Amino acid sequence: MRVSLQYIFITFIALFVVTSTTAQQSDFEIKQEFENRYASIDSSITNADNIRKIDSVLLEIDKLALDFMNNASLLDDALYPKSYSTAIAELKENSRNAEHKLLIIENQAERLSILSNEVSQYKSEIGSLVKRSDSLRLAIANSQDSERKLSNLVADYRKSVEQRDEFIFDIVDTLFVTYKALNPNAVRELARQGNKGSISDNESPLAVISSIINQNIETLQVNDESLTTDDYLRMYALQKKVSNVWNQVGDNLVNIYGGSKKEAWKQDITADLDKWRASSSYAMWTSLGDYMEHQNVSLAAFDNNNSFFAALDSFVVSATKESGDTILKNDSYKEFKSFKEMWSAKIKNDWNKYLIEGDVLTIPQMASIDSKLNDWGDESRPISTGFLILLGFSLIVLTLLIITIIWRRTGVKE
Amino acid sequence: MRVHIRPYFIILALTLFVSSACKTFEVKNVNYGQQIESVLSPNAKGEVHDSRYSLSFNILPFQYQETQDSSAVSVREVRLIRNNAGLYFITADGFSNVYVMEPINNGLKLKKKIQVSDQGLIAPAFNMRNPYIELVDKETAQTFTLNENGIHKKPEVKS
Repeated sequence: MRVSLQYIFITFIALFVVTSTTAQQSDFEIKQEFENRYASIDSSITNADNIRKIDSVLLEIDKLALDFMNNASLLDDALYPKSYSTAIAELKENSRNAEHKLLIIENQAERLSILSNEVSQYKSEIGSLVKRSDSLRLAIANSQDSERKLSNLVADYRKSVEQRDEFIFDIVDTLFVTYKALNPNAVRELARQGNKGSISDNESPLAVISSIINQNIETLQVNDESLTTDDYLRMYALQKKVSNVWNQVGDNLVNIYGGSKKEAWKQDITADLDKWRASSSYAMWTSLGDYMEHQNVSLAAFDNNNSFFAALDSFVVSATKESGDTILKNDSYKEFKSFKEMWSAKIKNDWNKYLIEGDVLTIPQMASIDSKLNDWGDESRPISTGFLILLGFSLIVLTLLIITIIWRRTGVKE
Repeated sequence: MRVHIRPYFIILALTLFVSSACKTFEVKNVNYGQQIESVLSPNAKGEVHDSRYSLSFNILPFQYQETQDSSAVSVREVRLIRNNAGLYFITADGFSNVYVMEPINNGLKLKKKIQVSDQGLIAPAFNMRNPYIELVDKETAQTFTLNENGIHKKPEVKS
């Protein structure tokens, strides 16, 4: 009995203390405290940079919900148009979204780390291909060998440059696919990891792009006679591709790998890309002009997509008109056949990929030339031998018929 | 003499009908109670605006009641809560009284001035404790239970 009286007394004191503590607090303060803790948790969610932090935020949300459970009704009024339960639900949803984003970012970080290793391997691979191309070029320059041997060296050199370019096409595709999909949060997080020095400056994708551009500028500056229009077209298409990819993922790459020299990286690569564009464009259009001349296709001067298409179009249209005006079409048809062969075998088949990739000719432009080429074919087609024999035979029969009629009339009169 | 009852009856019925139609339309048992106080900071002119309940007034007349000085705003935060009957309980830091104000056409009319402190409240706050309004001075830990007639309970001091 004495023990139970003691319990009642202790309980009463405890209740008194609890009541007095809560009585001194204003409802407004409860609301403010809730709002402050809400804001602090919300900011922790925004700033969380790994899954562990989000896990601890989730525990904080549970604690917040528990601490204010008794004031739920008060908070429903005070937080209007929100309520206690919607505020807690909102925090949970925000943290789940953040967790989802961080998971994606962590996966991306892992993928990028793999990619960085690949890029580093690419770099050494390109290095050895460039070395091989350079030594072949030197060998060609210093060659005293027979023409056959020299031609083999040139073929090897061209093959080596082609392999290097194809390799670069692949790297650029990989860079594009990986870095284009990154959202701003992922870029920030990866930049933070980049600043920790997880990837060395020399092996970053920025360094790889920079060395690709410079190696290509060097190749073009050598002004090598071993390279053909095919090579210049491929180099031009490659330059276009790298430029396009840089325009789309350059900012992300600079933000992730630029460290403290973001602006310098951006300016250097942009300036180098401009140089590359100028030299590859000049080399390609000049080589294409020489090729056409060599093929006896005399086109008006061109140095860009529009002027090249206009020159081709005007050539085909005037050739079609000339064929229409000529009676004996053998030469005209020969010219058509020669152009048609070059158009189909070289331009549309061998060069197609690079023409489209480099925007040298677009698909609609090629379709338009195709259609006009058909007209030229129709106009220049010579009259067939069978038709001429038939015509001659008809003329003989007609002459014989006339002679017979005249002879009969003369015979009747006599 | 014949009394015509029918016309009188019709006139009486019409009068009753018209008078009942003209009677003021009223809805009873409306609860105006604000579940949580509004804490408002006056601007340089002494104007306070409660954006949630869309109420604006000037605190300077209250300040004048307290200090007989309304030349400059000395109030930092105005505390305001509305009870179930729709009366506003208004006080501020440094005030010795709680003003129970009745809303009137384009104004507030004093219904009761409740003195709660001699020295002035230091950190006042209102809580809705149905059907009363609780006034807490967080600094001195004094609490008062108020209604429109004054202090319902003597102040308690919690340790």
